[in-house]
Amino acid sequence: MSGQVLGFVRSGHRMVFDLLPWFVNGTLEQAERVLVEQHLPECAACRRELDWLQQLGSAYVQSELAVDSVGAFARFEPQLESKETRTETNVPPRGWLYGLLTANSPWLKIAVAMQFGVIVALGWALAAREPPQYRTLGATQKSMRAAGSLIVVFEPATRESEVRRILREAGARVVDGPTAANGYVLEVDSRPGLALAALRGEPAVVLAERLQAERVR
Amino acid sequence: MLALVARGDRDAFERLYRVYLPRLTRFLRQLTHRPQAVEEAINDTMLVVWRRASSYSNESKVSTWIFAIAYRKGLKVLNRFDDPVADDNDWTRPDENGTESRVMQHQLHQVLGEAMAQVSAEQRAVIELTYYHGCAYREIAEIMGCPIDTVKTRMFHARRRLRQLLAERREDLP
Repeated sequence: MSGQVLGFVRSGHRMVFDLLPWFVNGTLEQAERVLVEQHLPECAACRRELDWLQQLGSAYVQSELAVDSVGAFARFEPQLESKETRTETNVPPRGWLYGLLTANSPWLKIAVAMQFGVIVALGWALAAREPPQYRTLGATQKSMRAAGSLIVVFEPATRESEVRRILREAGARVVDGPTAANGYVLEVDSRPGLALAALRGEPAVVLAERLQAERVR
Repeated sequence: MLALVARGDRDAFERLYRVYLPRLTRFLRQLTHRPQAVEEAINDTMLVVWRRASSYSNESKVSTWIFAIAYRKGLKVLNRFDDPVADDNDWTRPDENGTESRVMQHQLHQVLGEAMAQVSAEQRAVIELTYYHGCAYREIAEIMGCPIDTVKTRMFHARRRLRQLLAERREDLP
């Protein structure tokens, strides 16, 4: 019994001892702060540690580093420029389509335009399929499609684990595909705009577009 | 400001860069102890911010999100080096004129940079985020991508190690 009490006292001490650095920097939550304040008067070890941590904190904050901020952005900016063509996919006002349509090669423009047309047509065809009027319990849940349906095309070399990560981060799941043009139909439960932006922000995503809202049920 | 960056606003990005430059410089300098690699790590961090601003969710503070990126970039840079870490002897020294306690404070400060080089990068990150950047332990866990208990354990070992190193080095002072 006394061993249990001693263990409890020790664990309480250790809990407070661990919290002391954040007691010093003032970020503990109210309940934790009260716990520390109640423990300190009865624990000399924690008071000594607190004193040491306050000294350490003061010395540490004085350890300012000289930062050469002048010209830092100017040195960084060319790097930004050089990578901007890759980042265009992240910038909605001048997105991937802008980058492709303003490309120098006319053949590239034509090829991209044709591919885009095929993908959109296939996406439209997928979205336009009427769901069955009657469904068994084991039937798929397409009629429960909600919030947003998107079509996405990944770079052919994209690994499956990368695809999973992208979909997870975008809060999307595959409900159909691949289409003949390797497009996948995705559903997102909420905030399809954000999901779309996240998908477009991924270098591995070649195309991400909304499907027609009226097909969504 | 990050919403503007997500929409491709270069001026907003430049403002964000300037706001975070001193804090990231300080953090990455302390994390890596490789001054020559700090600017590269900052630029790698800010490129990710520029490219991924649209994927930021409001689940964490903007600073937590940016520091989490910087932490990963810092570790990545650190992994490329095999050489011993540099002592931060070019830290700006505090004013040496003052009371006895200020002299003691100065002595502590003098050996602190050297002692910090002797603890692990993860422990330095916890110390730095706590004492300089004023982060709560939950926020540090988020930045470092580890459980809260791991943060507390790293802090516990860092405190013990620093105390030991500082005691040894202060004995060597004139």
